[in-house]
This record gives sequence, C-alpha cells and structure tokens, in this order.
Amino acid sequence: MQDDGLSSSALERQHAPENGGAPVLDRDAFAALEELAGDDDPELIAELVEIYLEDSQVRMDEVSSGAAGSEGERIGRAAHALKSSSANIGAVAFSRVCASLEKRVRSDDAVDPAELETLVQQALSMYAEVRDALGSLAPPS
Amino acid sequence: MSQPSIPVEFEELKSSGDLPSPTGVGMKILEITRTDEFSAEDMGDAIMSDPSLTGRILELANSAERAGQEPITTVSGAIMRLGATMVRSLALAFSLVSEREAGACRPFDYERYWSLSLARAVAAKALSGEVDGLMPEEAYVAGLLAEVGILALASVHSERYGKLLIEHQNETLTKLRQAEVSEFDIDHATVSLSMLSDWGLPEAFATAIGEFGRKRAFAPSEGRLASLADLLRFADAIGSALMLGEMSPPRHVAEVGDQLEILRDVLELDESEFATMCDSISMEWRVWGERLEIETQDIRFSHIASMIARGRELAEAEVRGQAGDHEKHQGSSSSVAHLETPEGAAPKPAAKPTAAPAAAAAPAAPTPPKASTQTEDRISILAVDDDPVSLRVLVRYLRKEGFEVSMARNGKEGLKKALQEKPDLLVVDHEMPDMSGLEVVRALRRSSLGSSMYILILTGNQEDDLLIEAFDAGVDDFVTKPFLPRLLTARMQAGIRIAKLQRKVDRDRRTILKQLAEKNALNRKLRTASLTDPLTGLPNRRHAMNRVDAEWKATERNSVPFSVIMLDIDHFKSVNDTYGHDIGDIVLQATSQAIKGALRGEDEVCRLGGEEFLIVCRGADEAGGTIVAERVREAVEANVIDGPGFGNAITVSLGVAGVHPEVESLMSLLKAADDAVYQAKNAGRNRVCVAGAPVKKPEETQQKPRRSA
Repeated sequence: MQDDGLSSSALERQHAPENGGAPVLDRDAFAALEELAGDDDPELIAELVEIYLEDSQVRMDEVSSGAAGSEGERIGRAAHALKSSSANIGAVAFSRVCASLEKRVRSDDAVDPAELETLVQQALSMYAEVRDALGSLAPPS
Repeated sequence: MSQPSIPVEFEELKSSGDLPSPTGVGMKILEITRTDEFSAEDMGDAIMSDPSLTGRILELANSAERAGQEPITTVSGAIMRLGATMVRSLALAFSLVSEREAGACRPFDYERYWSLSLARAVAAKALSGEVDGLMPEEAYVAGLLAEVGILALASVHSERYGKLLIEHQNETLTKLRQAEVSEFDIDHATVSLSMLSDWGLPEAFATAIGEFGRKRAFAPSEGRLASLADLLRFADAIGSALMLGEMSPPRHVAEVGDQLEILRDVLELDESEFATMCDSISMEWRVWGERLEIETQDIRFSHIASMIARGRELAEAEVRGQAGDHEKHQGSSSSVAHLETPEGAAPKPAAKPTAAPAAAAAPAAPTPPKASTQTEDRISILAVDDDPVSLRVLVRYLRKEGFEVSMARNGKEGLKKALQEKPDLLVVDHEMPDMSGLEVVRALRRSSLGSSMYILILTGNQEDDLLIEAFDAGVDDFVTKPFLPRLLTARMQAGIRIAKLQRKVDRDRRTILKQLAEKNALNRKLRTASLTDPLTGLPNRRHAMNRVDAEWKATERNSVPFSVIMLDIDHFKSVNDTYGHDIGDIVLQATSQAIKGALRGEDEVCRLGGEEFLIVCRGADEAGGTIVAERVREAVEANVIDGPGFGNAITVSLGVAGVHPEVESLMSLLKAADDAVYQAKNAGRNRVCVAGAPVKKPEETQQKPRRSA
C-alpha cells in the first residue's frame, strides 16, 4: 500500500527535463509531501493532486478571462493563489511563472497588452505541462 | 428594596465567569453596542458575518403577520422595520441558543429547558397581538429568555443548585425561590432580570420577565391581558401544555388545564378556535425547533385536552386520598399560589421507565454532555487558507503532530470559527479574496475572546513593510509559504508554549474569581446573619427598625405612602405553657411562613421578638395595609400547625397604621399600630384594628412602643 500510484520510475519520467529546462515537478517538494503522507495517510498525494487539478483549472480560467478583459487585479488574485498551491504540489517552475505574472500585473507600471499576452501564454503552456505530468502520476480511475 | 438596579449578589454570580452569555457573533454585538450611540451599520455587519444568525432573524421578522408588507430580505431591512434595539435583542437571544451545550448541573434538564423556552417564545409571539404596542418579535425574545436565571444558577452553582433542584422537586415555584435565596442570596427571577439589564435589553423586557419569575399563574380576576408579564404567563401555560407527556405529574397537568381555560375565556374563543390556535402554535414550535436544533414533540390539542381530563381525575383522586390532610388552601386568592410549579426547572425523573408510552414520548430525553474543548489538555488549532492545496497540507501536518485541527476556507468563515471554537492557536493565510488575514487578525484582537489567542500568519513573501503591518495588526509570528515542516514545527512549538501559559493564566484567573465570589458571598452571609432571626429566618428587630426608618424617610422625601402592621400571636403564652417550648417554636416558625405566604412582593415581615411581628407595606396607604392585614389574618387562621401532640390552627391580632399628614414621627406611627393591636386584643382577638387618623390632642410623651398583651 505504501507505494501505490507513485512508483519511483513514474516519478523519474516526470522529472525528465522535457523542454531542456527545469523539471515540471520538483523532486524535493514531492519527497516532502511523501514524508508528510507517511504510512497512515497513503491517499494524501492523490487527494492533493485531485484538489489541485480542480482548483487550479478554475484559477487559470480566471487568468484567461482577466487577460481578455485586461483586468489586472483579477489576474493578480488568481496568479497569487496559483503561485502558492503550485509550489505546494511541487510545480515549482510554474509557481515561479505565476509569481512573475502576479508581480507584473500588480506593479505600478502600466502593462503593455502584448507583454501581458506573452506572460499569460507562457503560463498557459506551462500549466498544460503540469496537468499532463500530474495526470500521468495519478493512478487510472 | 426592589430597585431596578443590578444587585450585588448578581455581580458575584457574574464574577464567577460562568454565567451563560452570548459568544461569538453575539459577544461581538454586545461589544459593538455597549454604548447607546452604536452604529446600526456596524451591528448589521456583525450579524451578517454569521449566515445562520442572519437567516433566523429574517425568518422571525417575516413570520409575524403584518398586513400588506413586503418580506424583509436583508439585515438592514430588518433594522429599518423592527428598529436596531429589537434586532440587537434578537441577535443576542439567538446567539445564546446556538451556543448552548449541556452543562455540568446533572439534575437540570438542559434540553427540556430549551424546549419549554422555545414553546413559550412561539406562543408569546402568537399571542402578542393581545397586548397593545407589543411587537411579535419582542414577545418572542421575552418568551425565549424568560427563565434564563434558572439556566444561570445551574451554570454557576452546578452542584449546589442541582442538589437544591432535587430537594425541591415537587414543590411550588415560591418554595424553590425561597430555597434559592437562602442558598445563594438571590433567586432566579432576580438573576433573569439582572442578566437582561446587564445585556442592555430594554427595561420593559427585564421588568416583565422579573414579574413573570415572581408569579407564574394568571388569576381570573385580573381581567384582560394587559402586560407583557401576563402574556408570558399564558405563553408559559401553552408551552407547558405542549410539553405535557405521560410522565407529567397529574397536579401539574390539571394546573396547566386551568390556565388554558382562563386563557380561552380571556381571549373569548370557543373550543374549536382555541384548539386551532394551539395546533398552529404547536406546528410553529416544531418548525422553530428544527431551525434551532431544539427538541420538540408532535402534539395536537386534542391529545393535550384528553391528557388534561385524565390529569384532573387523577389529581382529584390524589386530593381525596389525603383529604383534610393537605387541603389547607381556603381564602379567596389562595388557589393562585397553588398553581405555581417549578416546571421550567423540572428535574429529570429519577427513574426512567424503559417502555415509553407510545403516544407522547417525553421530550426530556437526556443528551450526553458535549465534551468541552477547554477542559482537555489537547491544543486546538484553527487553520484558515483559501488555497485548498496548502490548507490540506497544513491540516495534514498539524494533525500528524497530534493537534486538534479545524479549518476554514476563507477569511469570514475563519473569523466566525475562531470566535465560536476559541482555538488556542490560529494559523491564517495572509492573502484571501473576501477578507484578508490581517483583517481577520484585527477583528479578533478587538474582541475579548481573540485578544489572547496565539496567531501565526502565513505569507508568500517576507517584505519588511508587509511584516511590520502584520505585527502591527496583532500577529504573534509569521511563517513563509510554502512552509518547510521543520521550520513550521519550531514556530508552532513557540506558539504552543505561549498558548499553554495563556491557558494556565485563564484557569488561575477563573479560580481566583470563583474564590473571591465565594468569599464575598460568605461575608455577606455573615452580615445578613446579624440582621436575621435565627429561629424563623425572618429579618430581626434591628433590620425592622432600619427598614421602617428608610421607608419613613422615603415618605418624607417623595410622599410614597406606606403603612405598618403590628402583629401578635393570640394566647401564645398558654401554648408555651401547655405544650412546651418546642411546640412554641414550631408555632412561631409555621406562623412566620403563613404570614410570608400572604404578603405581596414588596411587603416584608420581621420578627420583633417573642410572639410579636411587624409587617412593612411599601406603597400601601392605611386602606391597602388593612387589606394585607386581613389576608394575613385569614391565612394564619387557615393554617393548621402540625406538631407532636398539637394539631390546631392559631390566630393573630393585628393593628394597622398608615402615614397621615397628622402623624408626626415614625415613633408615633409605630405606637399607633401598637395601640391598634391592643384594641384588637381587647375586642376579642383574631381580628384587625385600624389606627385611623390621629385625633388632634396634645401628644403624650413619646417612648419606645411597649405593650402588655
């Protein structure tokens, strides 16, 4: 029961730098979660992944709608939440992208629509990777 | 003697810290509205932070029939229609109900207490139209809180009050109140009144509830429903009827039946109209029971009527069974005293029958007491974060460390839970969309509950400005996200150390307050003892002289009328000589009780010495005093005294003197009363003589009243 759904080889695959950059999911963060789960809460990680996938989708939709309407604060709120929950689940690189997105829309300088579009696109594509990575982690239901 | 101000005995109860009080949002409302010039808007906001409270207030505001009015949908709408004071009262009452839990006083049936209170509230609301100028919501709140003093005594003095309830299980309400006074120096009626004044509820409420607490039954001669107190009396009768079950004592059932009949006459309803009214009250009682999670029973008026009929038969049989033995009530109004049963305080039946009768299961099923979160030594933590992932991680982490953890998904819910659950530690996220972590912290620090809580804030970054703002708002420490378990552990340990210390401080404080209250009560008992006659328990001569002196001064200042009645037991010497001093003592004690029972609330009887008593009637002129004297005479004559070798009634001679312009001094007033007793003795005893206005003639030298009987 201890290692179901999360065989090391599966993790290994997800950590392979697919884009030649940082791994999509951070090994250390995941190890910390595994330690937290321990023996008596084996469902923890599967549960966290499920919560994350659901919550982050709503937040990303917020980001997209915010971008379409140029609503800086709306994007900022969603990005802030994504920054924290993504870091928790181990999606460290994506968390950083969200952090810079949040910082950018909340700064005092006016945001150039083209620049915003680029940042949002970057976030969207990284998010897709995170979903893929987490999706293949979760045991088929 | 009966000023509306809050008595010192109540302050002692209050200082124990155990009085039932609104907590959570209710406490916040109390604080916001402490002064007269509170902002209705702030209060509205506080109420709205609790959705279920808001719902209950709106439901109540909309359930009263008001022709042609749109339903109210917002708290501010309710404030506009009912007034801020009314909405405040409602919020406090509901928050008291929602904070209820079974307390430590085991013989006191908490569940039954709330069931009856709710039934009374619903009935009072239904009848509110009968009293001019009374809002249905006012009637409801008054009904709900009418016996809160009993709850208070059970909470503060759980063990002693429990014992007292068992000892006075089947006695009248008056007896129970007397016992309360001799045990705690204050009765539950005064406690109810003081609590409501203390919470700043309108004075009319407090006064009516005080009156209701002193006299429970409505007498037929009193005519139409005139006051809120009368309304409460009837509402209580209907409430008691709804609570009837197969286990109710027949005498109680018969009394409830009598009150219902009087009510029907007063309302001028026929049998079927009255039944319809009771059934609709019964139905509303169940609806409110579900809303407030209070037990009710499904009972129809037809069933109540048949229980009353059977109860009457049984009660009559009981009386016949002990005829001549127990039937001492004769005089004109004595049947009223008979009606008072401490039903609200009904102790649980000692032995529960295993097979409950099918028709009406008694609603008094005892509930297991909720474990109090404060008594255990386990540290409780509330975690608040709008990010579900980090909340789940945090909670998992804290539970793994062995803490008792509850959680909230947003700021408002977090604030509400913090006030309700009073956790030792609060871990709250900094940035949340509805209410930021710092706003939660500021609100908590303003309340008395949140001021001692250890608060950790979770923050995404460590910018100096932000941290300074956070400490400024009142956080104790911060943890950055995503947190490293080891760092969080270290910081939590620091917080737990403080929380444990805080707990110890609170516990010590409570102990000290409790001891202080006990010491004060003891001191006052000693003071009282020096003014009390040990044989009869009545106030002694010293007290009597203080009292008449105070009344005399009040008369001089405000021309409040008052009268005094001197009373002397007839042939007391021969009782002593024939039957001995033990019987003499019994006669004195029984006569004292008979006199006391015949008095109005504001009258006082003192034993001057020997067989001589003085009754002080405040606010009564000579004619009023004469009525009291005659009632006392009848009561004593009707009171057969039982003692070894003695089974007679005795009689008394009374002299009444009231304040007239011609009465120049207190001493001449007392002497006039004394002379009147002498007249009564000479005229054949067992009678009342009245001094009347003094005849103009040079006054004899004044001396202490003395007389030979």
